[in-house]
Amino acid sequence: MKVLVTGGAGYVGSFTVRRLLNAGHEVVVVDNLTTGRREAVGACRLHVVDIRDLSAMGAVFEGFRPDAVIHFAALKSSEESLRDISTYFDVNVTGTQNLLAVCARTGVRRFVFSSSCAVYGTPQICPVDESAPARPESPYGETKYLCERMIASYAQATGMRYANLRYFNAAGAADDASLGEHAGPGATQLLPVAVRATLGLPPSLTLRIFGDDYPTPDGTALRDYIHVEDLARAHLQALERLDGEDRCGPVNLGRGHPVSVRELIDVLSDVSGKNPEVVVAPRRPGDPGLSWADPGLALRRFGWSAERDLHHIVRTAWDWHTRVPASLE
Amino acid sequence: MHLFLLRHAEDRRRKHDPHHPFLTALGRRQAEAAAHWLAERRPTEIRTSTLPRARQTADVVAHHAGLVVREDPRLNEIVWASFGDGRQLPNPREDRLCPPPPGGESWHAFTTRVATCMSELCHRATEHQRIVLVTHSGFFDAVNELLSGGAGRVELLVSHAGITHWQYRPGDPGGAWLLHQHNVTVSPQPLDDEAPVTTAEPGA
Repeated sequence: MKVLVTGGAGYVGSFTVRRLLNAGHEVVVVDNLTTGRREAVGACRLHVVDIRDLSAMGAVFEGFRPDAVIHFAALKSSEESLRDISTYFDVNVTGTQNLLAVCARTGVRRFVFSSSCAVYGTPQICPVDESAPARPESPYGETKYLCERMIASYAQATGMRYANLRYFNAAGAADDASLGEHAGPGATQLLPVAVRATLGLPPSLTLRIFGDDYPTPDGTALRDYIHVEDLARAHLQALERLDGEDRCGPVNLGRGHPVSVRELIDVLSDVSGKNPEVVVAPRRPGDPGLSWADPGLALRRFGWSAERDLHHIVRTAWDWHTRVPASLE
Repeated sequence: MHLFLLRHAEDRRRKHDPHHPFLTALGRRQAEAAAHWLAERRPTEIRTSTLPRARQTADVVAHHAGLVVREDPRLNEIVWASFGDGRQLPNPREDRLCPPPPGGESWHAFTTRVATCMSELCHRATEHQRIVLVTHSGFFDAVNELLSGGAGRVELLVSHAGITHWQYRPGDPGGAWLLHQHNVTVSPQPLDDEAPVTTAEPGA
């Protein structure tokens, strides 16, 4: 299959590109390299194009004529989106609208979208299934939900098959530390931040836990961490099985196992043999106390379920960041 | 997992007697009637709000079912408070993120508490669990809203000692949650001096 991947030089995108190539698909990547990295796509053909540039996107599609699109290109921080709403709507919503217009014009038949559990908002009764009410709480979550609805509308009009994959907390790296997440000093994702603190890297030499007074077993927030290789495999399986009338719509991608902040830090201590200094800070506004997936639909639709456990997630992240120090710069 | 939400029975608070926050005579009979109904469904566990009207209702149910009551403050009613200066409080469901008066709880904070409690139950759920939660009317609304969406569009009527029966069945294509019954109320046994008057049949 000829597959065009937007944002293919980014974190989840680069793992998916590698998996697509290994499965024998013909792949082209579109990425403006704002956060993506050229080296992450390897020998795959890369067009350095912004998805908001309609004419440039049209030229790429006319040249490649993809059968399918996997759409990762987006800004992805809830916190940042509160400070820069217009850029988030411009990149995520206008960019996706451009992409869908080009897909419709060039007859793309399959579309897999990188959505997020941020569409659910809080509070929710967990595990959250795809029928749970969507109540995004941040501009970022709103943009993901708007994109999902646009995709559904285009699909209804054109007959395009689609899957809106709602990730929970992507984490981890390749087993051989050849690919992973780049998380600089401004990163907010818990695992890279915890690795930074464990390694004694600035900006904070202590690891802050935001809230230990949640009504959870150890008082810290609960999340559903999923290994990036499991996510990449889900994209491939979704893409290849988007062939039936009943296979369109949102699908959760999570392990379905809640993990507390303290539990993750404990596993990191085991893996690293170090104990970062931990301090408790007040809760951050908007942080949900708990969020984990019911991943049953992904199994029923695509035959997919997560295979890598929490220890694997933490170990590969630790190996990646310690072997590739630039990943934390 | 089957969840039986049981609203507390009638208490003296409703009779404007804040110093006696206990069940009325009618309330005790409502609790007994609900306890009989629930005992027939063989509950495996009972949890209650810590507020006296709920705890007393739970004690009656636990006695009939042969269970030990476990208190869980997450089942308590939304915490009301007043500004103390005569200002009228907004309905918490209408003004969801409104900062409540000191000591009070916003609707968002309340539903977060309810969601956490329900999520914990789901996390350890088994097919054969039949759990009674003795709680308050706000909890019924919060659960319905969390599961169905719709924000404040629907308010549920829940009688004293009314029972709502939910079933959690993950993976069911018909929906993970099945609402069996809402606000089941069982007529309490009349007191001796309230025995119904029987009337002679016509022609007798």
